[in-house]
Amino acid sequence: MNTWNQLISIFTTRIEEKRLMYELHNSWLFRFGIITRLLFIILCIPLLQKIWFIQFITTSLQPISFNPWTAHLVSGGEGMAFPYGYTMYLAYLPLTALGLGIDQLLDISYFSKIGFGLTSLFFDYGILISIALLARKYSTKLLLVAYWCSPIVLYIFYWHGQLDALPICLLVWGIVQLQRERSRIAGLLFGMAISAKLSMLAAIPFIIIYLYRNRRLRKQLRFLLSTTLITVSISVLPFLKSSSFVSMVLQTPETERIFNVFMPYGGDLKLFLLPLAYILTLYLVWRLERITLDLFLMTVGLGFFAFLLLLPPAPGWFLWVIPFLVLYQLRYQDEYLITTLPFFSLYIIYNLMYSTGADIHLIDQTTSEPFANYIGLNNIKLKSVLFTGLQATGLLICVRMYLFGISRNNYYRGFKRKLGIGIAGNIANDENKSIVSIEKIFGSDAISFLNLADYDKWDKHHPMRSSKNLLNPNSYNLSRLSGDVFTLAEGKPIWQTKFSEKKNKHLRKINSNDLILVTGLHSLYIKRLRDRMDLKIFVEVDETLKNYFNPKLDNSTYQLIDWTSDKERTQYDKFVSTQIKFADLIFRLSPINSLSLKDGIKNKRLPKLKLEVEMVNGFFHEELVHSLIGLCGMHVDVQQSSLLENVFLSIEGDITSEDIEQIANLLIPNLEDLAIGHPEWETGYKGLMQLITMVHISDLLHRGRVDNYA
Amino acid sequence: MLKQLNSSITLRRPDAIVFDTDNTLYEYEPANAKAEKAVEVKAQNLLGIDPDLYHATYQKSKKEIKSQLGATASSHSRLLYFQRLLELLGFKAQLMTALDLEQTFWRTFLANAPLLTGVRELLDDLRFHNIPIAIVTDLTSHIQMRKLTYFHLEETFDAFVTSEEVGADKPDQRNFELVLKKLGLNKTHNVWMVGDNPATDIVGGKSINAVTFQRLQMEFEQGDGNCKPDFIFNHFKDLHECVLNLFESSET
Ligand SMILES: [Mg+2]
Repeated sequence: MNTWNQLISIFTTRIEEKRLMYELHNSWLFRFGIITRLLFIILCIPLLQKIWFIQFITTSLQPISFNPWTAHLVSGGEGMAFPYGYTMYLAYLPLTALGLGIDQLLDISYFSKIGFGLTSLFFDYGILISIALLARKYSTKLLLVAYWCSPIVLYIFYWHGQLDALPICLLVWGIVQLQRERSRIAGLLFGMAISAKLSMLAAIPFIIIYLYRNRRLRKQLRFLLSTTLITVSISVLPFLKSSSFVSMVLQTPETERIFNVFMPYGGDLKLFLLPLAYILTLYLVWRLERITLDLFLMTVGLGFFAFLLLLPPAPGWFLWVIPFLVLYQLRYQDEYLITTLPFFSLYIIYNLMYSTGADIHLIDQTTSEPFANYIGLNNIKLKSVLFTGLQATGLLICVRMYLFGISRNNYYRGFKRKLGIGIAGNIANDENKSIVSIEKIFGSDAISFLNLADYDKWDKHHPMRSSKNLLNPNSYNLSRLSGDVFTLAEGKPIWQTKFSEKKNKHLRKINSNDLILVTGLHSLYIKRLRDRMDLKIFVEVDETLKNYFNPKLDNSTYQLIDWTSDKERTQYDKFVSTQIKFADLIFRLSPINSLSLKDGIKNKRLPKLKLEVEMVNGFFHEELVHSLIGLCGMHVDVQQSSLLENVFLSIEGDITSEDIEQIANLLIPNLEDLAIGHPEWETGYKGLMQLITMVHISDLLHRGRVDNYA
Repeated sequence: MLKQLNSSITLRRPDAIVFDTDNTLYEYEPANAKAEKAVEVKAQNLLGIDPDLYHATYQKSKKEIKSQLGATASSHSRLLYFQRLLELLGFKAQLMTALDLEQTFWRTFLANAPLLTGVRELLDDLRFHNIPIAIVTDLTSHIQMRKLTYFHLEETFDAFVTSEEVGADKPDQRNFELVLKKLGLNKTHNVWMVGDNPATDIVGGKSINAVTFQRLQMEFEQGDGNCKPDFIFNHFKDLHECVLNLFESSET
């Protein structure tokens, strides 16, 4: 049990993901699936494995050969026996070889088959885990019913005996790594998938489009493709000289099938339907405005579906769409059975009738031939009718998946232009960081950061620069700042002049990203700039906290603007505080108990803080307050302005990042479409500010506007 | 189906309906199991405790707290269980960790405790027809108030009594007498008591002459002997239908 726990810990990092993994593994459905699989492996031997795959591997071991394809053909084996690459061979080798060893000791032929079956089981389990990791939030029961106990999966792997478990496991596992932004590992896995089964190449264009169209992920493309290429080269190139490899793996009848389905165009001219449909699907994906992970997964599924619908029926290939169908079901729980049940039943009936199966050990009679042969129902018309039904129900699922994917994808489509966010207040922000920490949700690559400090008219060492000037908007080149904002908003990059410590000038490029974040004392000061900001935030930290908001203390990277004289105080009120009236969202931080301040400075520990939030009424604060009180046991005081236009929240209490994450999932629909793979939610007041800002942004992106009461 | 077990009762429009909370308004066990698992995972993460040791110690700490406090509200306190667990494991007073584990417990618990279907509709209709509704529940007030807030029921009930307020868990009669007092009623009024546990809710209900309803579910058997409810039901829509029929007949 302990090693089991450790194994699960490798896959997952979060408590909730871990808990779901435990739930998955402790379910009786999981045990049922395992036992059924083991019974199949112990009792049955699929015909394909017996005459082709196991034969192929055992031949290559007697004597041991580096090129199993040549060894196979030399010994007079069939050319169809192993149309897979080296990865497939190596993956199935160890356990099969071990079984073969036992067989030779006992002089039987049984355990090589068990070893072979267990290898399939291992990758089959790998697919289950990958789907779970991709889905992140899911009903374990639904996942187990839809995948682990699915008759189709059991049929393909353990009765019909196909080997698609390995390439599909590698592909889906690769997507998991991609989602976690480990592009090199993902590339390695995709390369292995292709080298296991060449047809996995069909997924690559979708992956390229997905990465290319998501600016945040685009730079991963290079790493991914290079590792994929290297992996494929290493596992394929050495064999290209071998004619047996070329004839058995590359020039198979399987490859020829691409051209099997066509429309006659008069004379000898043919229109091949598969390439046509495939290119069309790619184009549809390319044309999408934005591609979320969910839609990407669905489009890969749809791309594979194009193969299913426009290729002569091949039972194993149906497995390709299964993980994507299951993910679709986990997202869209209703109606799944109604849509998929006819497809699944027709699939099972059709293939039991017309495809090879397995022999059962305890029964003398052979059961591996297509059932239609036994009952004498080789009526070609019936076969065609069943086939038509199968294709029709498959097409139906495609349409449903596409429509759902598109509607889901469109959730955050309300906003067509770059989103401008201005944060003013009495704190000086760091570069590439904001007091509301949204970069930890969107990823820094999604945000163009502009800091007022970079628009200082006097550089740091200039004699004109003093603390007094910091408060005066005339010390900053605000027109250049707004010019830069508008340039970025048009999608063009800007160049900033920066002074390094040694007073050397250098230029810095800032790319135009989806969010433009302007921070600094006066970011809402001039109208032109303010009007371009879709969300205006004002953050005011109580001045008694100035000793804590200091980069020299470990807990803060923010510095409070410090003023000492009355004149500076007047300047602050005149130039900075005045911006409050323009803000959509106001945060105020103050100590709960000012007496604790003295003691705190000695310990360099931030005292307990109270966060006050002011925002527009009737939006989401009720839900937020319920969650804060109910889920987290926080103390919240709600007040509304006299005309009920604004709402004021005063929040006290300890809140962890896990609490924030859970509330975020409740308050922000389809959060995973906005956030990076593993968003970092903050703890305490930072987390609350992050959460409340995120809800505002998600609402803007969904509806395309903000209710401004300024 | 609402099934009548005590034939001597004719249902009339009630003067008030009193509800238990845990396992009556929502399913307790699935949420509890998930929450305990989440705490276990977290404790292993934070402290690196072996799972078997964790389980054994958790059971032991639960037992100790329960025997120490008897049938009182705080005998169910997760915070006390986790604090004792940490002490038994030799971690001394790790107060932050205990609080963190407690919060992890309730966060996971609530996220996995949806209100049963039909509850909200029933409560809304009762309020619409001016039938006072109340809660009598074990456990401490703070967490029970948090639960009701989370369910968006914080302004629904006319009276709210926890065993913390009374000093003893149900079936202690004082819980039920207090709720009558808060509602301004007495034992002669036609009060209904709805709960899941025969030994506490039904027995307690009987102590104030209430008509008793048991929601049948996995955890408790149908009550027998002096725990025998007057009515049993599986779904709230059955109870809802029965109430609606009474309203109709009383209006005509
Ligand atoms: Mg109960």
